[in-house]
Amino acid sequence: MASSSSSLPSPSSSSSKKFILRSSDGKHFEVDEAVALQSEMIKQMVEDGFGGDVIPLLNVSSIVLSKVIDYCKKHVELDFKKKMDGDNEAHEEIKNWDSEYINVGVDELYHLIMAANYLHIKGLLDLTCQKVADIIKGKQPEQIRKIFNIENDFTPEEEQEIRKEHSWAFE
Amino acid sequence: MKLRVRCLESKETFRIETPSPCSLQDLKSAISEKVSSLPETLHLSLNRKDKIDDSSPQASLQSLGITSGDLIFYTLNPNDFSSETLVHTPTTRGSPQIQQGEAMDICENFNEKPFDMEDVDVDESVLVGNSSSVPCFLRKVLKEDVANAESGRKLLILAVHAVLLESGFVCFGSASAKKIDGVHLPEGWASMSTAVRVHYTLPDLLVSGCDVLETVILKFQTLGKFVNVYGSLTTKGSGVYGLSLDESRFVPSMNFVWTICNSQSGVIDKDGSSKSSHEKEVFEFWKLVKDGLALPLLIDLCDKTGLDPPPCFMRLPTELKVRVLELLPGVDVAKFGCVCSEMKYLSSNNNLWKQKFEKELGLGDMEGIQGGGNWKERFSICWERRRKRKGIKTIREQRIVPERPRPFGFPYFPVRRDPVPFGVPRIVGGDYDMLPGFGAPVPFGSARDFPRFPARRNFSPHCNFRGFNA
Repeated sequence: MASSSSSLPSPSSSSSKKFILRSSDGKHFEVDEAVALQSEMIKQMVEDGFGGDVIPLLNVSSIVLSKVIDYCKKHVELDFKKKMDGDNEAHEEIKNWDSEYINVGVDELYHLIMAANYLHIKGLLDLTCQKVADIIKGKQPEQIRKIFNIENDFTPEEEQEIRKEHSWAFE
Repeated sequence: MKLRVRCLESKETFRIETPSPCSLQDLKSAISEKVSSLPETLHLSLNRKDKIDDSSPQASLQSLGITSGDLIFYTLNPNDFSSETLVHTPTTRGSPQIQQGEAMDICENFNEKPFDMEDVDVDESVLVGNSSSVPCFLRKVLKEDVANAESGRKLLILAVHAVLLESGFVCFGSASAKKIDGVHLPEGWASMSTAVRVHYTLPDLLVSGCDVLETVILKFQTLGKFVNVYGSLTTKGSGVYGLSLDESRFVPSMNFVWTICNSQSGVIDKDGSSKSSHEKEVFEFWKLVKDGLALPLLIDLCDKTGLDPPPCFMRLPTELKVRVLELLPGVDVAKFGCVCSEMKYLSSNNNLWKQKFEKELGLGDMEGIQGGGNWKERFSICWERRRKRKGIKTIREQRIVPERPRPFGFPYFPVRRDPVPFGVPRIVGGDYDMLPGFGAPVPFGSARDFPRFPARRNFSPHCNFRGFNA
């Protein structure tokens, strides 16, 4: 796990530059340039001349980082495929892969959101936020509290008042 | 069941309480007593356009889609309400046999006036949004300690204190080493001249009763019109989080929303745009303190003491919570708002609701609407109305009332698909019969080409309060 190989048939694997990303717990991940540049944050760092040998990512643990790299790799690959094979097929494949990928528990989802936000990976942030919204959709407040472990901090009167105010949503 | 009843002509409104269950006949009798006229002469409507179907006076109010709190319009003039209970006909009372040209005119009218905002009747006396207009966090603290909120500096300190309390901290007297009950700051804070220090801890830590309590300390410093706040754990070497709050920016807005809250009616504010800009400033303040101080301190403190961190969703920065809210349908936003006080505050954002309204109820033309209304309320009213129409429809279908040609389809709600696109009636007679080649569909083209909701196409998913530059 210390360094992830890049054996995938990536579009520019032979010629491309490699980046080494260091997670918050000190593990190193070697990735292709195209994969690393999926992150707007890394892209900005590189453009500003900070893209040295190792890019430290202080807010992302190795477990989360490897998951994020999976996402970036797959999307580089699929973007490439999209260019070659035409839109439709690749689009379908991305959709399927994404829905499989994001099928995780709420805690992991939280870490992915935070990482996507920190690294500025728009696609991953959209995907993760959409997943949270999908979890919430159609649920009652009690269920939502349970799923996310949120404490009910209303007094009984407040709760009654707010329920009344939103009674239209409960019918 | 409590209902409000308003005269269509004089706009005079009164409240009545009906027994439950209550039939339409009972309701009419109750109203007729109030207005001293015969029940038979009364005509009722929920939306002041379509008459409530009174062909079966024994039908219960529920079955007609009337629920507690509804506003019922009445008139003595039998022609004021359209007898068509089902189909909402905004521009025409619709003769069934519309000629081609007429039909086109109506279409144009729809384009010009896709939504009649008069429909959304905001009754000032029951402004449901009132409780949300002052963020709960601020209200609790200011209520208790309003005497100290006179100077801008003190108001800011109180407001920061309020956000910390809302985030789950309790105030802790460092001298007495005891928890301070309620929402007060330690005594004497207001008389401290330049630097105010306040300790906070978590209720869970107090319960476990360890001797050396881990606390968080906030230091407030005043520099000109700025109040700087620094927060850190009391242990050495922990991170310090700092904020600089501009008194001239936030204090007027807080005072403003506080004044509205105190004037119970909520009508003090006629200038909706200034209200919403003040609410926005208060929200910005809340976001700054929440994301910049309260959340990181809470996470650090839990980390240090081995407590479970706050639930994952609540740890998300505000902008991401808002992002999730933007992805939810309006009805789920409302439910989410009932989960906890923070979500209640986040989900009451007016811009968010404006967006939901546009997206789900398909508001075509934003220009025609008075700025700064309460969009959440508008949404809920339209949602209710839509639900009611659906309900009435089901009942009518059950009774197998002979199908009447529909004068015009459902122009407002894109999700509803009428079997006949746009409800264009089958044209009988006229040119169509003689010259079937010049059929009715021609002026409309295919259903998809018809620009019913131009605004939806241009709809921008971004809410203007979510700067995305973490």
